[in-house]
Amino acid sequence: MRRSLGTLAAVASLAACGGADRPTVDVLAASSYTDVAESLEALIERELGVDVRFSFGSSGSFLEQLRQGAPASVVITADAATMERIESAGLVDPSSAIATNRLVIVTADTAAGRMIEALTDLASTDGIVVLCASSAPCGAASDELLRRAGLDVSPASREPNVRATLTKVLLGEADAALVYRTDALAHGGLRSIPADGEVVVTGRAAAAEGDARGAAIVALLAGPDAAEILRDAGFEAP
Amino acid sequence: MYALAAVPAILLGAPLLALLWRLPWTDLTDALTSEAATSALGLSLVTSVIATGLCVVFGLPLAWALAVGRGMPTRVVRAFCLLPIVLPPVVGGVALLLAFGRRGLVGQWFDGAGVQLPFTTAGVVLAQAFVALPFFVLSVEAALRQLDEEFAEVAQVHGASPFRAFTAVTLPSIGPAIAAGAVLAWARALGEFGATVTFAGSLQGRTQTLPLAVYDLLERDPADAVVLSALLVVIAVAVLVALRDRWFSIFRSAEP
Repeated sequence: MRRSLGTLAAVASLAACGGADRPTVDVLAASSYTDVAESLEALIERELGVDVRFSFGSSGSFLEQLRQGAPASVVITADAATMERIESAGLVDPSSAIATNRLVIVTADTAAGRMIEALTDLASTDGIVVLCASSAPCGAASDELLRRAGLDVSPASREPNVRATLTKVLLGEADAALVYRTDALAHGGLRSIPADGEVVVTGRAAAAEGDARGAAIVALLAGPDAAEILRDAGFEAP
Repeated sequence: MYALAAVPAILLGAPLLALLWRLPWTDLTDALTSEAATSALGLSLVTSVIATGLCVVFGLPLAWALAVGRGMPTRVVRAFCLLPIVLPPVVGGVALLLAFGRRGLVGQWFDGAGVQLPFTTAGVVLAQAFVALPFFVLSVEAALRQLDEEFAEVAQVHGASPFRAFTAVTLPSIGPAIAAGAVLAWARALGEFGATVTFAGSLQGRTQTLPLAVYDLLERDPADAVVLSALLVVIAVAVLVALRDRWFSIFRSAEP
């Protein structure tokens, strides 16, 4: 028994020996930050001399993950409401706004997709429209946007997160979807239309309670260098 | 030895006990009668039963062909039949999209004929049948192989057609294997998540089955998600109890 545990520990230590003497810091980030993460990781590693390991998911799942002890020094949520829930659960130190994002309509190169020109077309199209699930920030923002516009859209699916939503359009299985502006920009070939309406989601970052290294990363993410990287990716200043 | 045996026993048992321990007993009926839960339960039952029916109807001839087939072609076909068991279901979903999506290899013809599979309840059935079929085929093929071929041959010598020999002699003797295979396939279809969410999406009342509802609820209302999870565990346990003799008898009868 003891021997098998020893083997396990040896395997684990082998698996963990990526960054030699540099400490590894885990960052849990909303999936809308997937494309910009590489640049942010380079910035953090250069400025703070740590090894950063990003993992992505739906912001909505972070509260439960953190509650169950997910090892994250920093959490980045796609919207403020999700961060508020994590903060009020006492799982992180006070958060900082790092960027804002807004929704756009993306369309596939299909007959129905090419017909879509504005948000109102999503309600009248014969094509297939997919939206994020209401439990995900992009879905909550989509609901709010459509509610304010007084539109009744019948989506074919409510996908678990924004990446899954985008994928359905990229594969041409859906004709149109509401995704973040940054997701549309990351896929140059995709036709996107601004979804006018003032629904803005504010991405927020917070360090795990009392985590000094995490706090330094959050300060860096809220600073001017990160702002430039985020702006290049299509985010806006908070 | 007992200490070593305890490790996997805890690994398998602890999560299930934890699920029961976290069960919000007072909100049980509320969680089970919520709209998301009832529509997911109804959809799951309907789709998984249809998927199982398709597995039986189409799996039976396939199992027979694999049992009597010899040589390389049979081995290749059998390997393909096994694949969905070892494939991550999400990969299965992607493959289904590329095959039966409206731009897919086969799906583009369906689309031309006005038939849509992704984002439909029929798509859910297809995804479930894809992952469940191997379980049915394998258990029936195993039974067919162990069957004494002489019985069917004798029937044919006495004038029965091969089809008649199959339905009158072979079929009744593999009845238990068909039942066991069907229940296993049904349980697998009921629990299907990855291929379904990838291929059919998730929409309450149309494609959001029980496992998809659990995933969605986990981010909105974890307590309700626990209740639905426990429901799936109860169903799974019921299946195992119902199968305890039949399924294992397939392996036992393999011994001479």
